[in-house]
Amino acid sequence: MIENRPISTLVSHLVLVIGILVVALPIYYTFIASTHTSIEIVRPPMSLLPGSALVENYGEAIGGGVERVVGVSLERLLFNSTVVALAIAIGKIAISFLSAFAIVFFRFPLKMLFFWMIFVTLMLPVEVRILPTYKVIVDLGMIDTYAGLTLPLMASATATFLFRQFFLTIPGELVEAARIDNAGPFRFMRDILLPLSATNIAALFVILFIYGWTQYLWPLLVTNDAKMNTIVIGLKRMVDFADASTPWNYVMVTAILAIIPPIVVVVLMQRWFVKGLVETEK
Amino acid sequence: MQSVVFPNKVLPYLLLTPQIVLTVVFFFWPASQALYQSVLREDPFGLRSGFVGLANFRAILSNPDYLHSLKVTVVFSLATALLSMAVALLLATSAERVVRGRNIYRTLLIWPYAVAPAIAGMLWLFMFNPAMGTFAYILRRNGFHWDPLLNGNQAMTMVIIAAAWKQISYNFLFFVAGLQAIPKSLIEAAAIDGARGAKRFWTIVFPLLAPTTFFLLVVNTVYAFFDTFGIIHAVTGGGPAKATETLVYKVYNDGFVNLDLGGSAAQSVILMIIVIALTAFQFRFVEKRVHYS
Amino acid sequence: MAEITLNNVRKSYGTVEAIKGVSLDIADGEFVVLVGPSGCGKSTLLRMIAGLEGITGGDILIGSRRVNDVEPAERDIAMVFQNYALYPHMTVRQNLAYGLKNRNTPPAEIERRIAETSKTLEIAQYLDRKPRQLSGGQRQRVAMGRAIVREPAAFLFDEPLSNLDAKLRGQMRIEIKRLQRALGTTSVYVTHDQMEAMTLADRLVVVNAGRIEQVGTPLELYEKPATTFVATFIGSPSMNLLEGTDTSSGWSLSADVPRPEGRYMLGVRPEDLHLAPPDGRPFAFQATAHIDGIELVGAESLLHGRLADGTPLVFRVSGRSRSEIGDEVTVGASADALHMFDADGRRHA
Repeated sequence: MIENRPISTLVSHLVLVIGILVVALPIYYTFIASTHTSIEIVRPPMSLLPGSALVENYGEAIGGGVERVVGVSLERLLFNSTVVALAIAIGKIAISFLSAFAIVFFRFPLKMLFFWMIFVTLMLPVEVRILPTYKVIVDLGMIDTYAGLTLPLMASATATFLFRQFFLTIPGELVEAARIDNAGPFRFMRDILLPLSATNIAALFVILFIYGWTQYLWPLLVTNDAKMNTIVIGLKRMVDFADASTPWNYVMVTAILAIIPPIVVVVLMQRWFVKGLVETEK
Repeated sequence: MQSVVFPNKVLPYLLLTPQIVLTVVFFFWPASQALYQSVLREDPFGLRSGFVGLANFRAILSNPDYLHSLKVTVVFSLATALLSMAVALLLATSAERVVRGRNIYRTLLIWPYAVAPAIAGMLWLFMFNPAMGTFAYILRRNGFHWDPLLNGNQAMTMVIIAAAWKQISYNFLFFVAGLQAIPKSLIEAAAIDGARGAKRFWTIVFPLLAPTTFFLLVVNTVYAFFDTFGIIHAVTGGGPAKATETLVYKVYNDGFVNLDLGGSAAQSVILMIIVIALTAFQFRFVEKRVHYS
Repeated sequence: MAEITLNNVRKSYGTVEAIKGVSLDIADGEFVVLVGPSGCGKSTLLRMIAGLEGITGGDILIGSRRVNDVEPAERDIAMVFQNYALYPHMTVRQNLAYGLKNRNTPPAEIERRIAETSKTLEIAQYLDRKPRQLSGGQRQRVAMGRAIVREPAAFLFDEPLSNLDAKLRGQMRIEIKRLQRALGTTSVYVTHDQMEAMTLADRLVVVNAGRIEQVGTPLELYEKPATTFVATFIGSPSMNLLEGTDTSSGWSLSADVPRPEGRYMLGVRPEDLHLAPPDGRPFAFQATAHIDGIELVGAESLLHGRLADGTPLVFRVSGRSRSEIGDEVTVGASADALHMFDADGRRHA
């Protein structure tokens, strides 16, 4: 802003601080709850200061507590979520990179058909074709497999679209220079396109990692075996407000552990993530 | 299109194969199945199915439950979008105004983006669950009759807040980008013309933000339509008394719980049409309403 | 080292013919400049030599090898692009090395060539910088370096100086010429700037609408333009063209000047028009113009006038003009300064 008005600046700071409190409140509350005993948690009002059971809760929850409740260990849930999120992120980036490369840098018959086949998927999230997609997974025998958890979520055009937009900005002369420098398609992809796409890949990685980690409906459907649950599904299965025996301290620990990894990824890779997010969607 | 291309004949097809295979197997095949199922009806034992034309669609569109669900979805989506965007816009304009600490504020405001919608719902439920939530306890002690498990409006309020909370980061980032894209010279011209404070915001900044706002409105509506399934499923289960049963939740419920394949498929088809309409709408209008480039 | 031969080369895009049969022999070590207005096909021609554009008909030979279907990388040419096309993520050194590495040149040899090239071009101190850390002029040198380091049979330049400011452009022009002489490498250079073309070329090729208008040394083209197109394209300000008919008014031509039958065009360069005959003999050509514009460009002035029938006429006077806007001025030229073209625009012998 142009005018220097201390009061307006102060108000702005105040609004931001309140905003941050609102944004952080649910996470803070859950973290505090994860440091109280199960009895303290269910007897309101719960203290909004850290309790004494932090080490105990996390130790027990990881050391078999969660496994006794839902039949799968917390480590396994975290492992599954990590596998799913990484597979979706890396898989989608890889196949999208290749297909965008084909669409932008080659001329071949039926190109426009393939182009539209891919881009029409931009419009339809998995949620609207959930039942038939589920049947495909059943027919392919992919229930309770990592492939079943991840492959259908890779079939989307967002990443292809981003790569395509980016590739189109690469000057034609650069490609020609590479051709004169004896770089064929593979060398060009490896030596020039891939390094130039590094920022875009980093941004997509964050967005897709979050996308994979936060999936709900799909993993809910394709996992029957608790051992294949993601942490989000495992958490949902632990929570039962009507059941007095719900181990709330473990629930809170699981909730925190389900939130932390994606937050760490977003915060650490913030620079690329923000740029990528704003550019992908526009 | 790139004007410069490699001359290979076979390679592009090989490069496209992974994505095309995935798209056909997990997209075109299921989508066509949904279309096909939507005009069939199974007998009660699931042994035979027969062609019934548009009967499934007629049945759905005249079913009061479906129309109720449509109403719930519209209310939920608009409320979520508007609440979240209003908060985000306030935060973004504030962040634009401060110089010191801007990055710290941003870092602290983007957390919710990383939280799964289902977990976002559960976090709010921990605080506002009538049996154990500390905030529910505070509400009740102050004489407010709070019970989202029985009161449909309160249940709706809670899922709206949870859904809007999760979306604040996203909207915040886009509004910040939108504000930064407004040419400084325009703001300076407005300042010279004597427009300050709220007046400058509503007469200059807000109209220039229109493309961003409009884009976010569509994205948030789509988000509220589809991505919030987890919130509804984890927090209210569509209840109480279907008060929070959105369209996507109903597709899931009718297909997987009530096993009405034809009905669920027809609902899927209607949802596809809604998304396509929203996307087309967005492409048409967002492109046209850009005030600056 | 190699000569380049184009043999009735054609290129069409669908039904549109962009290059309509071009034949040209470029000698080994020669510096040939293709010049013409934008869209005339000169860049397309260059890119066809490079192998970046396919050819629809005819043959291209580099050395004595027919290269119509040879990949750009195997034609033994190097190219300098208008926007330099440096790889932005690689250092200058990596940019220079990339093409050699892809041809499996031994590392020691790569090192040697980079050292030599960077010394010649005075870019040794930038070798470890990325292109974005360089100024426009430095980038231009690196782009040249990338071509030189390859030691190719021919250099192809595609408007390499058009992104530089006027002063740098002048310096680089001289430097390119010097380098080409020193290396003796066959060079084909594309530009739309006739000034650049005149100063660089051993031979100039004027291209218009997909065809060659004229080939020759800069002086030949200036003194004996084969067509009205070349006449007006080469030289600045352009040659004046007057339509010669029986009714033409405002100018006169003495009867002993040979001219084509019927309608013709008469061309005279602004620098050949004088207020008074320099050698005392009467003008063969004389015109009276109404001055409507005066530009003082340093040591001389350009006077813009119109004849009685409205035809524009430009001429130069040295120093400051004594005429003013609104004046009537009579200027003339001697017979050997006149260019005669027939009705189709072809030079009358």
